[in-house]
Amino acid sequence: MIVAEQKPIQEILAMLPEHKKVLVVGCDTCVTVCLAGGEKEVKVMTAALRMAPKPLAEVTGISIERQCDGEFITEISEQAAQCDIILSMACGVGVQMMSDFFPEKPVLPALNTLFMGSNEGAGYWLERCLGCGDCVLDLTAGICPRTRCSKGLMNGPCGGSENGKCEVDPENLDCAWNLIYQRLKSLNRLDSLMAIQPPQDWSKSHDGGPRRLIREDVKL
Amino acid sequence: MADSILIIHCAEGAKKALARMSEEGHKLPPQFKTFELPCTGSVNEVLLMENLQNGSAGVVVLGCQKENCKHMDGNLRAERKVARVKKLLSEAGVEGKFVEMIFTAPDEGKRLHNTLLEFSQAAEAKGKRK
Repeated sequence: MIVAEQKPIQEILAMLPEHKKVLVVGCDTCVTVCLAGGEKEVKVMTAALRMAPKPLAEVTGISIERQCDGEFITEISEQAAQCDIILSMACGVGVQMMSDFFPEKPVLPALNTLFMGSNEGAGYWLERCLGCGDCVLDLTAGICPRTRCSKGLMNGPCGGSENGKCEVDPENLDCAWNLIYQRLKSLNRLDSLMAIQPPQDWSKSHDGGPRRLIREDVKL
Repeated sequence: MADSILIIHCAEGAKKALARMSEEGHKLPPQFKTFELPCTGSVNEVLLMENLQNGSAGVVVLGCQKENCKHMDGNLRAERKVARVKKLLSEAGVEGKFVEMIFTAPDEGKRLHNTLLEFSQAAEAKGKRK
């Protein structure tokens, strides 16, 4: 899922112009799971904005299934028409989609989008995928070195790995290459480590501009 | 009448303390309302914020004494949620509203009464300054 966190309320208040009708819109998918922008967070944000001394004409809140999907965005067309500003509590994708669907309204972000990751326990999320466009998880026993190795090494570990921990944060961060080694060992696949991996083809990553996926087979 | 203050209390130690307070003849002013939960661990930010927004001057979350929660650590989880709401109110510049966590033992009727009265007096003073 996409992991995000709320911007400080002062930053949100500073973005909002006075005497305007604000519609706070949550997203019931990724940001609900990471407790940043779901229905509950919309209720808390709405209450905070209503009680804050900043004079806002009106604050209403609503949450939709997914802000990254137009069919759900159109469900709130009526509410959007009645407001002056939309405060989106979705990830950056949701904010941009809302801007596309309501071009006449300023759409402001209430969250900072952080990474694609997993929930590791109560209140703990871990980045697991960079979206690099060139997956090597078959070679590394399902552990991504590009994301989880602090140096993004494809041929690790480096000299900073000690007792299974990474030198960047020895208390909290596992050495990804130690995890890869241990997993390959348990799978009896240590021979995979003997091959030298070539540098990554970053042309498939973000650096070539926004990536697109077009599938002719599912076009209508 | 002064703005209301909501006491969200657990059904264990805090409920017994409120009962003890009443048995000992310590009455709370009428602006206090109570709301019972099985454990304060189920308090959430929405409950706190919406009560404040809907007119309560303050919300007091009343839980068992630390290390004496019947549900292990529900009172400590409540304390963290209260702290988060306090921070949010402060950063948003909200004035005249408060949220507090109190831990109490069942036999602390008088002490609890005094603490709650202090909250109502502080809220009243804030209201007058508004």
